[in-house]
Amino acid sequence: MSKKIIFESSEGESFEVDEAVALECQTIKNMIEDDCTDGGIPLANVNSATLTKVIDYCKKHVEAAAAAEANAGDKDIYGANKDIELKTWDEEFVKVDQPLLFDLMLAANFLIIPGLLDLTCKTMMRGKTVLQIREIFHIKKDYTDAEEAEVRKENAWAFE
Amino acid sequence: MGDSISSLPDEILGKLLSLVPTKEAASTSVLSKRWRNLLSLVDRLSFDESMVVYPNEEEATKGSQRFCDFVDKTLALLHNSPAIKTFSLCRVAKTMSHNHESARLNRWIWTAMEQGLLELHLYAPASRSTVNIEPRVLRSNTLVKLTISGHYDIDVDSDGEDSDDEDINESLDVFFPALKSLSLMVALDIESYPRIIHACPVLEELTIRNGDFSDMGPLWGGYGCGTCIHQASFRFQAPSLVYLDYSSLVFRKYDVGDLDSLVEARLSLKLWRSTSHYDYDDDYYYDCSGSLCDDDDPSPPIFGDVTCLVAAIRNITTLHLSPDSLEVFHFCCKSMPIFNNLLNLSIESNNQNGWQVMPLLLKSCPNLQTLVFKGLVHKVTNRCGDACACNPQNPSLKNSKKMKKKKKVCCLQTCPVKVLEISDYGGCFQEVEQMRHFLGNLKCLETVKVGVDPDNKGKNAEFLLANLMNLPKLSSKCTIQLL
Repeated sequence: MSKKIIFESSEGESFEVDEAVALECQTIKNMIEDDCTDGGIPLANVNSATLTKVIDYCKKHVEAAAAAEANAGDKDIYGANKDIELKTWDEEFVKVDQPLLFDLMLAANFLIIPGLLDLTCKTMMRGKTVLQIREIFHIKKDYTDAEEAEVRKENAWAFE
Repeated sequence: MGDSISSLPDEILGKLLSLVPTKEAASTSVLSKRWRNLLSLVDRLSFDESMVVYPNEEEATKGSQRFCDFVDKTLALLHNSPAIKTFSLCRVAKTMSHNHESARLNRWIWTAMEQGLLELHLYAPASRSTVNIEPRVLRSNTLVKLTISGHYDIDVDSDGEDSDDEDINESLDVFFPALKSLSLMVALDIESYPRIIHACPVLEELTIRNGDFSDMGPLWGGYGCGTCIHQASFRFQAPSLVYLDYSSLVFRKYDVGDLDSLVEARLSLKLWRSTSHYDYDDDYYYDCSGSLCDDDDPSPPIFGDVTCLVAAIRNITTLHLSPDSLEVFHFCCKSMPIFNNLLNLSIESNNQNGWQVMPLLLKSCPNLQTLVFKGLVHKVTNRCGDACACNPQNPSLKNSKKMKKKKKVCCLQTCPVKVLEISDYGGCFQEVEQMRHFLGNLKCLETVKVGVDPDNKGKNAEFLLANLMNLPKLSSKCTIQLL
């Protein structure tokens, strides 16, 4: 029986996960190494919906890593397929609404899960024009027209 | 939701901007004052000039100038920033003068390298002339991955001196003590390869492509004309290499040191001319003096000798061969080593190239587990031997004669393959006969996986599978499945 770690979301809900899954988070890994995880880990800035997704992600990647390990050696030729499968899973995983994607990114940054941070950041920016970014994230322009012209002139090629 | 993205910490915004092309990252500066100076936070620069297409040459020249200004400015902004890990550059540079362009590129590489770069990727898809990279800028204690692709040249031996290592001023030469992965997809002088590879003592992955230069005719001329090609010997030493991807026309000779750590090789070797004259000629053979045994045949001898290269990779576990490589193994390899560790063999076929070497190759892989074919259709020749079901000319007579003379068993019967995987299966007569031959002779077979040619998908995949199920199988535990 593997050791369990208990997370507590911002709503106070408890989530029990295998230690191996929790170890995917660098922040938690450090805490486990320092032996200060008894009685659960309160995550005051991660809500239940986000935490559920984060745990899903870590579980999948722990499983995939274990499967890859087991198949190493005699499965070289199919290695590529496994990668594609995980990539497809990742792509499906981030098909969520903008606020949740945003929370996932913050959680990945806070818990230090490099793979998830990369994935969410990429999804956040992918294929969006500056105009779309402004709209989606409600970014208000605080330049005067003259200032904006100056910014555009500075890196002219970037705006072609 | 308010403007929550702008309140993110710098590190996340830097991360966000590192994941998009630098052009897009820079364009976010127009969003608001918060976004104005974020470019200095990125850890990856990726400049791709081909993202903008101009309507005419005049506009292109101006645009190219703006692109250069942009790269210059960004590099200046990031000067002394230890953050930059990756630098990618795709330069179109159609209209620049040659010397000017080379000087600029070398300055960019130099500046980027100074930042303690981990990865450098250079592409030049189209250019009027080749851009020279100076060896003195190809030095880094940190670089792990390097790609050079397109119209570049690396002027390794500018003095034309003998290429022994001691002769050169070391501080001016290529030096990558940490480099693990090197891709050279350029037409370099043949003497440059050993020098560059030698400068990477811990190299694990090597990709060399100098084969497909259909759009690079003039550059490749150095090897194509008269004497050079007859003297050229391809040399390199890479003792810690794990993966080799090599694509090239065959050279006269190879001089490759032992590759004892090599696990996987992907070879795409091409002959200089078509072998169609040789298909039905039993009497030709490669000859050192370059003369053909058969005086009636006007075809010149097949050029090239890969014996040393093939011997050097004999410890690998996985081998991928292109259709042309099969013919090169047949025509240009004087002796086939025994691949004792080879578990996976993957072969690509097309109707232009024959399988003449297959029997010898399969016999040289005593521990093969998995055999993969991308396409079964191959050119019918009378030298296919017993690996396939080809029926050239007068099969019954010829085969029976051969069998009697040599008294050998079919090479497939001694082949220990457990998994046979076929992709792009089309189900034509030649393919079905080939499958009949495989299933009827491979006695250790456990699994057969068949992927149907995408053009046929859905239409008759089930029918093709049912057809295969009915073929007689030598191995009783063999199952057939669709991929």
